Amino acid sequence: MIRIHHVTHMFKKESTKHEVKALDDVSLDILEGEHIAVLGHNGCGKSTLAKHLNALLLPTAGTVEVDAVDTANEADLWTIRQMVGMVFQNPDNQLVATTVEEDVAFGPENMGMEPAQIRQRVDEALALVGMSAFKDKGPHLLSGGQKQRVAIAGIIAMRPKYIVFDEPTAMLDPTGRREVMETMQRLNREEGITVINITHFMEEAVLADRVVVMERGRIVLSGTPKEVFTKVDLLKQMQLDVPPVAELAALLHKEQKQIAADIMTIEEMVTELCP
Amino acid sequence: MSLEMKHVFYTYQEGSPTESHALQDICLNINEGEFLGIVGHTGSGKSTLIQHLNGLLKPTKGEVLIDGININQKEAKAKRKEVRLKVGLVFQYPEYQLFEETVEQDIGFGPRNLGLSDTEVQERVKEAMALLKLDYKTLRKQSPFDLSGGQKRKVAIAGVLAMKPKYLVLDEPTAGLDPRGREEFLEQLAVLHRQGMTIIMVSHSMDDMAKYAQRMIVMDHGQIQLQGTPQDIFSQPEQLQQIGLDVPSLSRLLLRLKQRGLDVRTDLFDIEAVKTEILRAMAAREGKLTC
Amino acid sequence: MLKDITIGQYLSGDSFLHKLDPRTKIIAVILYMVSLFIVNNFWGLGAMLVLSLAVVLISRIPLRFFFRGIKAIVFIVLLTVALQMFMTPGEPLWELGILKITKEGIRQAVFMGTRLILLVSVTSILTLTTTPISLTDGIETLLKPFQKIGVPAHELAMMMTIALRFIPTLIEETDKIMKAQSARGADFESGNLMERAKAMIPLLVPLFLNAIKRADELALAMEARCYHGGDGRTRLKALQYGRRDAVAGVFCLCMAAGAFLTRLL
Repeated sequence: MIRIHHVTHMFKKESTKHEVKALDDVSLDILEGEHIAVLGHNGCGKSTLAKHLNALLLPTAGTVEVDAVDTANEADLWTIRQMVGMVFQNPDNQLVATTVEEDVAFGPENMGMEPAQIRQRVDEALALVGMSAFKDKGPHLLSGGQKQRVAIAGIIAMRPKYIVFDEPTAMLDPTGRREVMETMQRLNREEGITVINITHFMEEAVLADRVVVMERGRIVLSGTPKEVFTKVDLLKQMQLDVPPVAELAALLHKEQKQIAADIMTIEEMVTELCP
Repeated sequence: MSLEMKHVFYTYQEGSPTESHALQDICLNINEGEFLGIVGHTGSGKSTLIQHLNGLLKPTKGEVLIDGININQKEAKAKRKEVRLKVGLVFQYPEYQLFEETVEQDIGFGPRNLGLSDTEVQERVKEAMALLKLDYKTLRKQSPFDLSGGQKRKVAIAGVLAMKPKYLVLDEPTAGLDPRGREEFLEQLAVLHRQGMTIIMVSHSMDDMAKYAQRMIVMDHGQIQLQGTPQDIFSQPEQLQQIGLDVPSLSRLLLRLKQRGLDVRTDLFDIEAVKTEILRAMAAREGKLTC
Repeated sequence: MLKDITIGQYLSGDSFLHKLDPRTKIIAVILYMVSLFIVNNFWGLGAMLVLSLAVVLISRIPLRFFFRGIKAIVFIVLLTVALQMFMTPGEPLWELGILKITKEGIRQAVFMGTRLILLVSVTSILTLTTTPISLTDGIETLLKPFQKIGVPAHELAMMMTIALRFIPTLIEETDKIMKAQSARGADFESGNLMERAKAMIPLLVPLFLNAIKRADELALAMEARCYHGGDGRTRLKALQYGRRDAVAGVFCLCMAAGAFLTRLL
């Protein structure tokens, strides 16, 4: 379990020298095996929160514990980073090596594993994301979605319990987005890896077990996708996207009370209207 | 007056083993004042197409006409630059081209290249900023690199608007923006369009297309596969799905409802219209049942 | 022109040379260079020429690659030959004003010209038969012993790897920024040298700033993947000498010894 306990994070803005509160007393427990989405606008603190989970940032106040280990504990830094993997937004800026397999090997190499073991991990990880056929290719020859899958393989090769995805699809086209989301879901369901997906795409948040909405460094809403996305008025107020079907359901409900308001997907709506 | 592509072919690395046909026999007419949407996969030829519109790429075969002038013809050489600049092109992630010390200087880069006087440049900068609701007084002296992501992008686009293009071409202008930024930006684009600017926008978002485009072209394998109003395009979802593209979710809902026997129109995607249509169809069904 | 330079390109294959350990190849090239400058008579030079040709054949790399490589340096070779020919003092064969060609000059010119061409060809073989990764690995392991005296072997190799990784990305980005700025009326092609240099600013500033941003993000991503320098780091592909390397090594030592002997003759 990752336990975020009353975390506040302050940082100085370079241009103005003002202190900014990026996180404001955030508490959240992330359970093992969960798929959780953190939704919010740019600058709401969601990426700052993500960087706290593997000690890339440390809280100004409060604590973050990964499996009961405090991330502020410097001695455990590499254990924590191995347990909590992280996939970043820009697919180009996280691939280090000149071929796919060398890149996937980068993490295990840093962990000081035996070459034979690294080989095994690399092959497994590439198979898992469906990129084995590309192992000798240079990263610059891949599409955005493929690069991101290689980045995910690089994390999987370190056998993490948790993977934090920090807006992994923001720079991808719909095909790439689909590739990444399918991989993410498979890792969660089949490999039992806990997934924390930081995103501003409502379509992705809908796929999670739990959605946390952040605004101005605070958690303002949390619950199952259905609980969150049927609060149409509230989401609109925050200028967040609402699933069109949920919005339609709210409108229909206003006109005809017998139509349920808490509908989120097309299939639910079809069953509701044409039983 | 219009932008015209006549049987345009474009081949990358012609004659080499890695030769690829990025555009094949493109015929396209973009009228002044139009809002044209271009959709298609990465690699479908969209980016290659728009780079032809202002002469950054020259067709391997075929002609590109800006207001009737063939921009790649030798005789037109003297006028080429002037004609090309009628088309403003905004690339993906335009904020990565910012380079000047202040917002004002950066936006003024284009007009300065035109050889305008300082006062004229300043006028252009002010106008361009006003078009995107960027406050001239507070922002002019700021470094563009200190702005937020959304504002950086607006400054970069203002840099193109300051060239006073007649036609504005944007490649995925909302990529990477959050929902708030995206909504705000598209609304401003719609305002520009209403003021008479011709807009050509490449986007992956079918919902945005449905909302803003007057006409759409769908590209695949270097060819224009479908062409028409969003209504036309989205009411033939099989074809879109064959290319592997999505249909706006409300269109998908209407199609599913129709399959299940609810007699609804399927060429709607505006939420209010869809609501009214569903209520109407349900009332009609009730009526039938009671008869 | 740039694409003609063969040093730095890799061509996949499975020749004897391709299979050699990169360390062997690097040392061999160093020994070769030394030998090339040790030999000072035509017999020796002829032997080196034959040897080089043999190596080229063993590499099974199409000859046109070498011709292209030589084409790229043709100017430098001609300049060297001319300088040697006219500037070496000695017994004059031909004179015109201040220009004179000496017997020693011709000899020097032939030597330097051949040396340069051989040097470029054989160095090209190193990169043509060795992937960038194994090349950096080779350099890293060879430099390891010098770490004690402060040579940052691992860091150098890491820098090379990252540079190689990002060259294609940066080329693509350069192209994109150039197009974007020309859409705003920038002109990279006309004007005098000063104007052209000035025109590069709108290209170089964004390129540089983006590179810094990339570096920042990459550093973060590397840290998140437990990177903490070269200590305790292992490799997927550990370098290993084989029988082949022994053969090649002995052969190279013979070559160097032979080169020394030609001096004594």
